[in-house]
Amino acid sequence: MEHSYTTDPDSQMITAVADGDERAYEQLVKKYQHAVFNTIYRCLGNYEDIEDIAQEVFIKVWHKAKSFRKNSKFSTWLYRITVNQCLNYRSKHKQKLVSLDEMTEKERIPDSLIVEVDHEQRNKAEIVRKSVNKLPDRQRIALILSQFEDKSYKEIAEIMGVSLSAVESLIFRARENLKKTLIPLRNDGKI
Amino acid sequence: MKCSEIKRKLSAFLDGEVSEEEKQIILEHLNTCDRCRKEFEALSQVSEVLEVIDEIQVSPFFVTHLKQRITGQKAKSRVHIPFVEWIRRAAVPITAVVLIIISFLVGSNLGKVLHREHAENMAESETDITSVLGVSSLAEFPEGSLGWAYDNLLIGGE
Ligand SMILES: [Zn+2]
Repeated sequence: MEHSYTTDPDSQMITAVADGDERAYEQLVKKYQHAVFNTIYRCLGNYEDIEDIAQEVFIKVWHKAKSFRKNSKFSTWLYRITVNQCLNYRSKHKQKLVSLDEMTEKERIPDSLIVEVDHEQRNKAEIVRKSVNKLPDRQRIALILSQFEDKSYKEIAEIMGVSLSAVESLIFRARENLKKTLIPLRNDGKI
Repeated sequence: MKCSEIKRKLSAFLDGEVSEEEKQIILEHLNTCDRCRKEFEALSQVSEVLEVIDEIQVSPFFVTHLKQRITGQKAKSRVHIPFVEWIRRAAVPITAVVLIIISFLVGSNLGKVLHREHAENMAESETDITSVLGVSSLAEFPEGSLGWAYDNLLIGGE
C-alpha cells in the first residue's frame, strides 16, 4: 500500500488542502467535479439534487482533508465519500422515490444539463437508466464504478469496503439482472 | 471447469479481471461450448447497451457556490436554488397566474354574453376589462381567423 502514496498525483494537493490551501482545493474540485456529478447522477437515477449532493461531497473533502490517510489514493477516498452520500440520500428519500409519477418527473433530465441532445438517444438512455436504477444499491454502485468510472475490482472493493470476490459477485449479479430486462428490449429494437 | 463455474467467471473475464490461467481456460471453453458463448455474448451486449446512458454537465457556478459555502459567506442564510430548479419551481406559479388571467377574461366575457342575452338594450355597460385590455370579444372576426380563434378561446367555444 505504501507505493500508492508516492504514485498518487493528487497526494500533494490533498496535503496542501489539509493545510488550508484554497487554490489546491479548487484544483482538486475542478479535476473531479465531472466524475462526482456523473457518479451521483448514475447512482440516483434522477437529476434533482445532484448539485447539493456534490457540494456535500466536496465540503467533506475540505473538512476532512486532515484525516485523509495517505495509504490510499485520493480518488478512492473521494469515490467512497460520493457513494456514501448517494446511499444516505437514497435511504432518506426512499419513500419519495417509490412514487412512480414523481419518479418519472424527476428522472427526466433537463436539456441544459445534457451533453448530447439527440432525441432517440435520450429515450434509449432513459430506458436503460431506469433498468439500472432498479438494481439493488450495492450491485448498481459496483457496476457503475466498473462500467463508467473504469475502476478496477480492487479499487471498487476499497471504495465500497467489501472483498474482491464480493465485487466480482455484485457485478456479475448486476449484469445477470440487466440481461433479463435489457436484452428483450434490445431484441425488440427499443434500445 | 464446469459450465456453471465458467458462467460465474464470465463477467469478470469481460472486465479483464481474471488471472492469465483462468483466461486461457475460459477462452478454450468458449471455443467449444455454445451455451457459454451465448451467455458471454449477452453479457457483452449488456455492457454495450449501458453505454447509451447520457452524461451530465457540471452546473456552471458549481465551484463558486461551493467556495461560498466553504468560506461561509452566505452559506447558512441564503438558500441557493439552481437555475434548472428555479425554472421548475417557477413553472407552477407562472402557470397559475396565466390561468387566473384567462379565467378572469373568460369570466368577464361569459358575464357579458349572459348580460346581453338578458338585457339586449343596455349598451352603456360595454366598458369592461376586455376593452381596457384592447380586446373586444364583440368584434366580428371572420371564421377561422386568428381573432376568431382567440375569441372562441376567450368565450370557451361555441
Ligand atoms: Zn459451457
